[in-house]
Amino acid sequence: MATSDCPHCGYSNPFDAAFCGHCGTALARRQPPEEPDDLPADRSSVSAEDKVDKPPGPEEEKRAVSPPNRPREPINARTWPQDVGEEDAQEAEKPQAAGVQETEADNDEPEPLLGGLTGLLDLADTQAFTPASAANPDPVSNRPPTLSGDLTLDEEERRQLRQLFTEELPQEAAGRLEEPPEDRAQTEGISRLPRRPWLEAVLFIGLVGALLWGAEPTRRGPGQHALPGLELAHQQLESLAPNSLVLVNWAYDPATAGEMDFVAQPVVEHLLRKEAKLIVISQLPGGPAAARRVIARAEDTLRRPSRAQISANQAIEGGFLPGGAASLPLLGAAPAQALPVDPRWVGLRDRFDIAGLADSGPALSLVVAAASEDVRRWLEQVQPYHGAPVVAVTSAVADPSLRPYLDSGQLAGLVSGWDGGGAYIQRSERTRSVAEQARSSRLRGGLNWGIGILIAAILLGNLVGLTERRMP
Amino acid sequence: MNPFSSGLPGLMQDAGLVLGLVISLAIGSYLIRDNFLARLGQYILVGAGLGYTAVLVWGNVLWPRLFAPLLADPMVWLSVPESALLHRWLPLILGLLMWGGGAELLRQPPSGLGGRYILRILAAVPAAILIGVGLGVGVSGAVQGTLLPQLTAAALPPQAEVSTAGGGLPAAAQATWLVRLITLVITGGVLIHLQFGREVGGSRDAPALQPSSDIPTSEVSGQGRAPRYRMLLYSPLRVWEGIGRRALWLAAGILFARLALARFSLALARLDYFLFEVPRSELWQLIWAAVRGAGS
Repeated sequence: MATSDCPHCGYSNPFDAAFCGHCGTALARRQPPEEPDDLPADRSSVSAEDKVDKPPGPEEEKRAVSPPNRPREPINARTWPQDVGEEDAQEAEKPQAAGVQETEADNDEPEPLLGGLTGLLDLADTQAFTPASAANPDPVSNRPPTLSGDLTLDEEERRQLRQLFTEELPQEAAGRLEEPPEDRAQTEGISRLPRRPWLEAVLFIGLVGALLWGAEPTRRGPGQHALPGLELAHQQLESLAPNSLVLVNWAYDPATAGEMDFVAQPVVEHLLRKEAKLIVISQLPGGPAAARRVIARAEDTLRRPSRAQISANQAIEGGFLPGGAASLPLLGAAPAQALPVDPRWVGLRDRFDIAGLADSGPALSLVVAAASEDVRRWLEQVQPYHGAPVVAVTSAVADPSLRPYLDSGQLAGLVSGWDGGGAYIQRSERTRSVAEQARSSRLRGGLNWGIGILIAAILLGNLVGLTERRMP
Repeated sequence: MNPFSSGLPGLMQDAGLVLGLVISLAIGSYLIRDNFLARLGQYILVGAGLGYTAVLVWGNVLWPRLFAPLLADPMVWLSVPESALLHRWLPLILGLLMWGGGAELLRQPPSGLGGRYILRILAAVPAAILIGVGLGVGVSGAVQGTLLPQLTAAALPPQAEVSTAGGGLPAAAQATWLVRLITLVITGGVLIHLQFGREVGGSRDAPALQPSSDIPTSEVSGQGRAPRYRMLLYSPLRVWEGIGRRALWLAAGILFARLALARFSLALARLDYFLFEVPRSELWQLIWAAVRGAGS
């Protein structure tokens, strides 16, 4: 079977594979290895065995540049720069017939939208799925395939090509000629490691099991050293006077709500309990919807019997603020002008509140963000203008990047991760419902057990890998 | 009307839960292999996301801030001359140029100079403004919001140790001189590794303490004095660079571990959603009862 080496780890994958079976790297669309110069150019005289064992010649490549069912390069695919250059050069030399065939192949199997490591390292962003022409305004490289021309491949050649591309290519033709011998041996050793579905199954079952049975409530919460900004954040919110204007930047959407809701809700509840006036803006399209859900849930929690009563309309929707970092300085300098308020939603009284931002500025800024970049942008673009203290509510991964801002005093408080959310609830001395307690202990216990299982799976996988590498 | 006070009715919320479950399972089937359901789920996700964004931009930005004021008073510069041009007509013109260029780029490129070619060139004007403003804002913000405050905070002596209500110390007070020294050592080591790592660190390509071409041959060959000063200079540099290199990898590992932790949280929340939230919804119980009734 024809193979394609992973540019990241060297693992030999089937040629039609979209991802590396060893490391998960998205495999770029690559040309089959070129035929050595000493081979005859006339492929018609080559025997059937040669057709199986040797890569296609240049003529065949020109006539059929893409094998049947070969996937297109996925979005965000990692490729070698030199391969890309060669590919571009070869793409430029394609005749029109090749363009026709490729167009047909593209129509048969469009590229997957969630390619590469999207969703794992970088969460899926629907804004990234824009037409290629918009991202690449170069009219030369962006030229669409020509729709005219004759298809010169007959059915027999198609069959032979299909057979050729489904056979295993020899390792020498797989493009490892540049590697030194020791690296080649190492790469071959790694490439012999097969994918271990049982390892993935163990991890998945461990996750589910940890969620179901690992919900042991923790006896004591995290210490002061683990969450240094939590106490400061609580003090900042506790010191707010009633009807203080709080500018909230809601910088996460449903993609990260699984973690962020748990952190954001106790802080929002605290603000509502202090009768602060929240003006919520978001630079993410899904941000206002996520904010509505969490604020409605917090209001619902506080409105229950034996809880504090909140006044109506404590939260004002500032709406969606497009423009990225470029729109933030105006928000800092003249917030009443920058707020993209939909007039149908904002009553007269709320408009006065928003206008009050221009006079005195917000009493506090709350940045609820899954990524540290959003907090950093706020500290760089907004806080220097209005000078209000900033409290950040973030995910666990953003915490280390924001510690320097907390140490320098630019951040007035920091609540991060599930631990931070749980500790904030404890610090607020709020009585939680049975369902809340069950969910909290379930998630935190599941996380702790899941991490242990993940570490065990990694160690086990490494042990298996080392063992198999030592085998002859 | 406040959007925060107008939640969806219960049945619609339950429908959202079940729909989310179906689409999540459809996209999740991509783990097994690329299939029709996975693609359908992706297309629904992308299409709904882009459509929602378009509606949001129209409702929040374009209509209330641009078109409605322009339609209400097209000759706005007569009443408010200094800001009308900048706030109303100029954004509209720049936006139209960008839209025209974008629509033109969706077509085949023009064969020669002409109106379509001019459209493409004119679209570069708003694009250049966007990029220029973005870069300018980013650089000035980095200086005023990160570089200067961080340098100032690093130069100041540690604050007095003040106990907080929780019994701990404020974060600034924890930055003792020892921590600062470690920070200096690690930062310097990382910088040395990134800038001079191949020279002082002893890689395979450029072993440590190899005489470079600018050293006189007499010194290298031992005819003159041995480059002892280079030994004295390079030895601590090599140690320092080693510390920086290891700290760099350690930091990368810690960051990746935090990233894995965050993604782990998301996976657990999704599983919790599947296992506990969806089965609790009324619509799901209704569906389940109907399925069981049909089965029996």
